[in-house]
Amino acid sequence: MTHEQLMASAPSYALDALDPTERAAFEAHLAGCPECRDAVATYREVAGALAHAAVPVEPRDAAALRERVMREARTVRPMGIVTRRTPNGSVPVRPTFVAAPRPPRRLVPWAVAITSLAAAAAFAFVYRAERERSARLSSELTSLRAEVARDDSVLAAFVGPEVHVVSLTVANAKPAVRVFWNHTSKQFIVTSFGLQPAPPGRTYQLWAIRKGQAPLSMGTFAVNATGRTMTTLTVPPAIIAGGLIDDCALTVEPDGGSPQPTEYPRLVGSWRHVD
Amino acid sequence: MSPDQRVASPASASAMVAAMASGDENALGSLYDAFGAVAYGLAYAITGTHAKAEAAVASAFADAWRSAGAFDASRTSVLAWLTGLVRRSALVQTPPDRHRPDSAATSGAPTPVGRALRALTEPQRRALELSYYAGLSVSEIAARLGVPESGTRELLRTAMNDLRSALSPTGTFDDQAMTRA
Repeated sequence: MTHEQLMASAPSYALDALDPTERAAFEAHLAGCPECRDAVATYREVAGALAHAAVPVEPRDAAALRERVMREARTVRPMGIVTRRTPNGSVPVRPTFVAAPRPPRRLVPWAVAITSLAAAAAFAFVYRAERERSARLSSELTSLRAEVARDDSVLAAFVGPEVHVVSLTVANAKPAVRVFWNHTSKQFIVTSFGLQPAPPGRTYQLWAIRKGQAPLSMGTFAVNATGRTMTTLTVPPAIIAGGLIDDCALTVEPDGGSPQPTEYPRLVGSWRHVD
Repeated sequence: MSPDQRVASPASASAMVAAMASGDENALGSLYDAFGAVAYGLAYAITGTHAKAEAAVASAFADAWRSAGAFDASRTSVLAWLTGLVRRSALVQTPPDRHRPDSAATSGAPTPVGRALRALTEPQRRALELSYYAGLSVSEIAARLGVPESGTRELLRTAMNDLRSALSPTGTFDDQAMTRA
């Protein structure tokens, strides 16, 4: 496709209206075409101006909405403010990643205990009432044990003395991503649930943070339509060489990942040993 | 959000975002006071309900607060950046098949851009409204309007060029010019 043909798609691109294959072709061209990048920037300004065509509408409760805006913003900003002392005083600098406060400890152990008790009671009832089925149940149990044994290799990656884990979350929310670091196999295992898939052309990227140092990429991953993944990443040599890391952060980056994060972290967490 | 609070100069708006990036929560409040009205009008035009518009605006300003550090004033205006966030949040609030852009709401403002939008041809305006307010893609707009995809891209291109000429003969965009009635 010629430059002129692609240029004709710039307004549609600026409106996010290109279909995925067209968008991919246009973005490939955009990377090497300053003229099209300028055109897209101009059309984005036109799109921004379009907001002023909408008829002004007063919110139902302006004060309550302003309060909500401020409150919701506080829940997503996982950053601390870092200041650098200079002879002239304290100057704000681009914050380095700082872990968000941990959410309150959840009551999962209780839930597990209650569920287990219920299951045990149910099993006892079944056993008494349907003794004749016990042989078949026993056989099924043997089969289940065999399945568990087959999964041992998977489980080994998650537990053991050489595994660290980090839960990535925002304040007051369930963790959306957990990363297990198996030092023996030199692997990160990334699990997620309820994580919105990254927009087209973009990918999730994890960052290892050592306090006072630039973030190191741990790798990229994608989630399925339901927000789940179990992705194994090889631990990069630079991370192994530096020893333990303090924190972990998640950003959304252009496909293929970035050398350094291009946005504030969406989720952060601190590493801890599996116990 | 009185009308005289709606306009911030590009330089002061950029300064607000820079202050947000360094953690100044008051700057977020200032940004909201400057752009909350246009954000709400846009969110309401897209979602059609107060509840969804409120959710979209709160989500968009949370996004702005989170990503203020990535804002680049040399590449985009605060208006384009922020309304882009509002538009995406509002479209997420409303399933695609529920979008029914209402021209009276989406292009009825007595502003230069409202007048420029009303001056477009009917097919141009419909294509632009289905894209901007309903979030439809070129192929979806083509199906809705019964025109080829190439023709739809051309409608969007000429509509955007006409708006650009009407709004910015000098090639610059100024939020104060956008809101002058």
